[in-house]
Amino acid sequence: MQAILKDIYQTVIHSPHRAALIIASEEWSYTQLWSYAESYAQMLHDRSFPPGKIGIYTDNTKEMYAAILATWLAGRSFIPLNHKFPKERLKAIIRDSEVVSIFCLASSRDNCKELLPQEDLISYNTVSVLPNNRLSDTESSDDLAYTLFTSGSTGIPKGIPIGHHHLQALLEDMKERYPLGENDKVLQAFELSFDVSIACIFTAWVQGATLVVPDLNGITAINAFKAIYDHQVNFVTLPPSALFYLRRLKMLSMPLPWVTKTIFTGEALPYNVAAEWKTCAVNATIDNAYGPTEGTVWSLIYALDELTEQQTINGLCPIGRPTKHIQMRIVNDKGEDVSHNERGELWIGGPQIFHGYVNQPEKSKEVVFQDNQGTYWYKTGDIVVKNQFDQVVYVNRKDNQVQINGFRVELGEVEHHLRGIIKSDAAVVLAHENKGVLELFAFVQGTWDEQTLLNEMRLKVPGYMVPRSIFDLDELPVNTSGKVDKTLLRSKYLQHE
Amino acid sequence: MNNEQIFEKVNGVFRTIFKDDTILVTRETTAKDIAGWDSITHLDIITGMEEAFQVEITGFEVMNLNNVGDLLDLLAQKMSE
Repeated sequence: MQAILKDIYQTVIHSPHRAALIIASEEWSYTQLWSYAESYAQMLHDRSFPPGKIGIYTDNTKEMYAAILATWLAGRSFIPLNHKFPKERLKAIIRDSEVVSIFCLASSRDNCKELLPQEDLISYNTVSVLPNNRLSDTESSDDLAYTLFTSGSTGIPKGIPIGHHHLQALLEDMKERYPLGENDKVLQAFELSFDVSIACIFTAWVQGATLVVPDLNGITAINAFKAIYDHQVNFVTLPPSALFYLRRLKMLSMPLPWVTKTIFTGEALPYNVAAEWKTCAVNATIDNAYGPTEGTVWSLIYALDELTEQQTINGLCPIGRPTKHIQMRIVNDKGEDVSHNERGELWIGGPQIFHGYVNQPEKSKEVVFQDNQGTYWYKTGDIVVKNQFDQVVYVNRKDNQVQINGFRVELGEVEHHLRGIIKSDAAVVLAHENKGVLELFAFVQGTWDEQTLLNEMRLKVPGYMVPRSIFDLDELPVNTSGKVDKTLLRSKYLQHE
Repeated sequence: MNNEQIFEKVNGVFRTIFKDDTILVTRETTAKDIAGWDSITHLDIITGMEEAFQVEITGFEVMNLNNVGDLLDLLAQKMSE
C-alpha cells in the first residue's frame, strides 16, 4: 500500500465524517470518498484489464477525484485526459502511453468512445458503491503514480511519468511547510492535467483537510473567488494572472480575512500582484512556488516578507530556495557552476526528479542525467540568478517556452501545427503580454482566412495554445541575418493588442 | 430594445469574439458548448457585452452567470435600470 493512501486512510478511520471534498456545493466525507474509490478499484480488478495505465477523463466531478485514488488502490497509475483538449491530442497521448481503460461520466461516454473501444470504458454510474472503510491490500511493484503530458517543440506532447516516491518526497516538504488539519479548506482551481492540482489535492488529503473545487469552466479566477468566499477557504493557490481577471471585474475590494495562506504558482510573480492580493487577503502570508513538472510540481519556494520589494528583479519576486529534497545548481553553457550574482541555467536534482520522458530517449538524454551518486538531475532551461539575499530569482527562458494560464507552451509546437495547416514553413508565433496576461499571436505568409485557420488549430491543440489572432502577411519580414524579424512584427502588429 | 434584438446583438458579440460567423448561441449555451471558450474569451465576452449594451458588469454578477440565458437576463435587467 502506497504511503500516500495510508495517510489518507488514517482520516477515513479516525474521522470518517470529516469533509474531504466540496464541489458545486456538494460535500463528500472521507468515508464517502473512500467508499467510491474502493468500489471503482474493485471494478478495475473485476474487469481484469491487461497491464497498463488508466485514463481519467477530466469531468471535474466528485467521482473523478475518487477515480484518482481508485487507480492507486488497484495498483495502477493514472493519466488525466483533459476534456477541453482536442480529440487528436488525446488520441496521441493514449497511443503513447498504453492506456487500457478510461474512467468517465456516463454523459462523457460518447466522447470517450472515440478514444478507446466502448468495452474498455468505465462509467461511474455502472459501479455499485457500498459503504466501505476497508483498505485493500493490493501490492504493486510499479511505483508509477501518474503521467502528465506537456507541450513538445517537435509537435509531439512529452509524457512525464511521476512515481509515488517522487510525490512522497514533495509531500514531506508540504506537510512540514504547510501543516493542515480538520479546520483547513484548500482550494483546488487547476485542471487535473496541470500538476499543481496534484499538489493541492494531496497536500490537503494526506493531512485530513477539506478540498474545495470551483467550477473550472468560464472564468476560473472568478469561480475560484466565489468558492473562496462561499466556503471560507483559507488555503489558496492561484496563478498570478488570476489577479488580472479579479482586478478587471472589480472584485479585489472584497475583503477575504479568513485566507491565511496564498501560494502563487504557474507563472512568474510580479511583486505588485502579490501586494494587490494582500489588500484583499489581509491576513494571508504569501509564497511564490516554482517548479517544472519534471521535478514533481514544486522545487523552489519563496516566502514573501517585508524585504521582498528590495529583492525583485524586473519587478518579479524571487523563487526562493530549494524545497526539502531538492538540490540545486546554477550553471553556465559548459555545465560549470557560475559565481554568485552571475546568471546561469537552473539544474535541480534529488528524489523528486523524473527519470525520462515516455518513449523519447533522445529528448530525455538532453535534459536528464544521473550523477556519480546516482542522483537524478533535470536541466530546467530556466535562466536564474542568486540575489544578495541568497534567494534565486527567475530571469527568463533559455528556449522558446512560455507559460500561458500556467500551462507550459513550446512556441515551436504551435508553429509546427500551424505550418502543417498552411503546408508551408512561413509561420511564426509570438507570445505577447497585455495587462499581465500572456497571449499568443501568429503570423503567416500568404492570403489566409483567419477564422478557418483558428478553427483548424482548435482541432489540433488545447485552447491555451490557439493564437488569439493570426495575421496573414504578403511576406514575413526578415532581419539582416535572414531570420524572421520578430522585433518588427511585435512593434508593428502587437503594440496595440 | 426587445428580447429578440438583445439576442441578436449577443450572438453578434459571440461571433466577433470567436471569429466564427456560424455561431448561434441559445439560452442554454454554456462554456462547454463552444471550443475555445476559456477564461480570457469569457472576459472578452463580458467586455464585448459591456461595449455593445453600454452597461457595466461586475465580477459579482459574473459569478452568477451559468449560461447565456443568465447573461441575457442580466443585460435586460441592466438596460431597464
